[in-house]
Amino acid sequence: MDAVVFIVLALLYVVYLAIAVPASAAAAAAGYAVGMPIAYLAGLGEVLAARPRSLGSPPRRPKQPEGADPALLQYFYGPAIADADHAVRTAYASCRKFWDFGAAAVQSAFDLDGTPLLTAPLGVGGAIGMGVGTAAGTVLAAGCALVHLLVVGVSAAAVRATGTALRAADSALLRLKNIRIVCPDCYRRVFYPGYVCPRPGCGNRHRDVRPGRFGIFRRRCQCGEPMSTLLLLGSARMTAFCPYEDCGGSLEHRPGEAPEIVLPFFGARGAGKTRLMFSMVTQLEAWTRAGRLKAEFGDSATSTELADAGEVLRRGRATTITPVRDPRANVIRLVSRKNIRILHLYDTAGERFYRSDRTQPLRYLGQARTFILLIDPLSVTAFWQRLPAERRAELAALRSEAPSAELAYQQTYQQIEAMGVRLRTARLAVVFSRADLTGVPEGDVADWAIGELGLGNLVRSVRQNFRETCFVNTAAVMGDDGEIHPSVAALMRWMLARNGVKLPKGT
Amino acid sequence: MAEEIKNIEERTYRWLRRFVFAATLAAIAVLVWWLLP
Repeated sequence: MDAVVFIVLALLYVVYLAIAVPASAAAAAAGYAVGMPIAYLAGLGEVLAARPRSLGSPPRRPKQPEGADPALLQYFYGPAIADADHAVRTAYASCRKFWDFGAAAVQSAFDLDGTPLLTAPLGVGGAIGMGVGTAAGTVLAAGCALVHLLVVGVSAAAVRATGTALRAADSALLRLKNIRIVCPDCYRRVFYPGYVCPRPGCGNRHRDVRPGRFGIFRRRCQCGEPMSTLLLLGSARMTAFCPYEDCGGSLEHRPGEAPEIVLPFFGARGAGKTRLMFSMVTQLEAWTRAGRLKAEFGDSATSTELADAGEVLRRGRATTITPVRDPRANVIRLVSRKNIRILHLYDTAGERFYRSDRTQPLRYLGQARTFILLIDPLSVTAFWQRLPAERRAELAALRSEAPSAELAYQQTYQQIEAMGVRLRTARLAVVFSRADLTGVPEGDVADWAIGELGLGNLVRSVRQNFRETCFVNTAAVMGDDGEIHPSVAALMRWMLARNGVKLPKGT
Repeated sequence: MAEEIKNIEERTYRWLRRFVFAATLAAIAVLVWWLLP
């Protein structure tokens, strides 16, 4: 009888084994095969969406490149990959817990304190299922991770392509508008201005705000303030500066909005460069007051320099001697018939034009296409000696004793050429100053310069080398009626005619 | 300062992170639908 019972029980146990082992194995395999990708997705959800306080910092933070702008990285330029890494680590920790839970369950199935005869088959099946399920789950979780990386990769590619397209569109727009930005301090061409963070009290300087690693449509300063990345998107409203590290000068004139015109005045010391510039500014102010155009100082340095230009002329005072140093451009914003132009007027001490080592640093000459050569006829010996003695006595105090005008011309002309300016595309105005003292000759001014001043070589060289030339006599003085001599307005009209600026007729 | 930057980062990346998560889930759903017989 006992033997029969034993056989029956043994058979039942075998049946139990045949059911319990595969069933527990299947359950464990299914649990782990599905649980691991779910754990990965849960980890991804925690990292990307829920971001609970318990999440902690990502173990790998993208590093800011050395010397980079103080801005946050664009998400797809580093942080997205750091998030992927963080998600994998978070999922791995969840899976580890899940695995430890299963391992503990399997171990408890063999616990001799319980009923191991019944639970051990479940443990065996569970262990087998865990192994199979973990392998399958790892493959599925890896598939999910691959999909995530693919989404990040495609998004990153789209973001980079958008950035490149926007940069190209912005550059094309600048080219189309014929805008070349020049730094008034270091004279170099600025391909794109740097900008100061607009948040009051921040002052972080961003050297290159264009779409890139710090943002596509806008970037965020480390202080949290958003900044436009393109002139198209309004970056010109922010305070600009020269992005070259050794300069960093202020570009207060909102560069990038309008074409810039570089106008260098050159000539011997005392030729009247500063006075001519003062009279031009005063003429522009007169036109502004009359509502015929709008001219304003482009930056505070220019305001300081030229604020009392009109007053100097009104009182007939002599201008102060221009210091022998690298000049800063006087920037004037000119609005004429809806056309905006930024004028860069360079007034440099005459001493800089006698020797090549002193002219070489004047790199702004390489950015100009219209030049203004000033010559004081009184300084030309041939002309001076032909004046009556009493007239010479009258004018002696006003005559400059600078070296010849031809020296300044030759020196500067060679330097302009050495700086790569194609003279056949350049224009030169040869301005004979002090017309109020010497009188305006009848007939052609160039002929007068050849005949009376003996400047035949200079006139021939100018005509031979420059595409367009103009010889004029000017008087940079203000009449009793408060009006600037009309020769100044005429010269300005010629200077700006090729730059799409139509100045008012008359004074 | 570091904490402040971290908070700004959290705010800045919030929607892009959500977008990536949603896009990943959508891509997985499409893949599962496409692979299932």
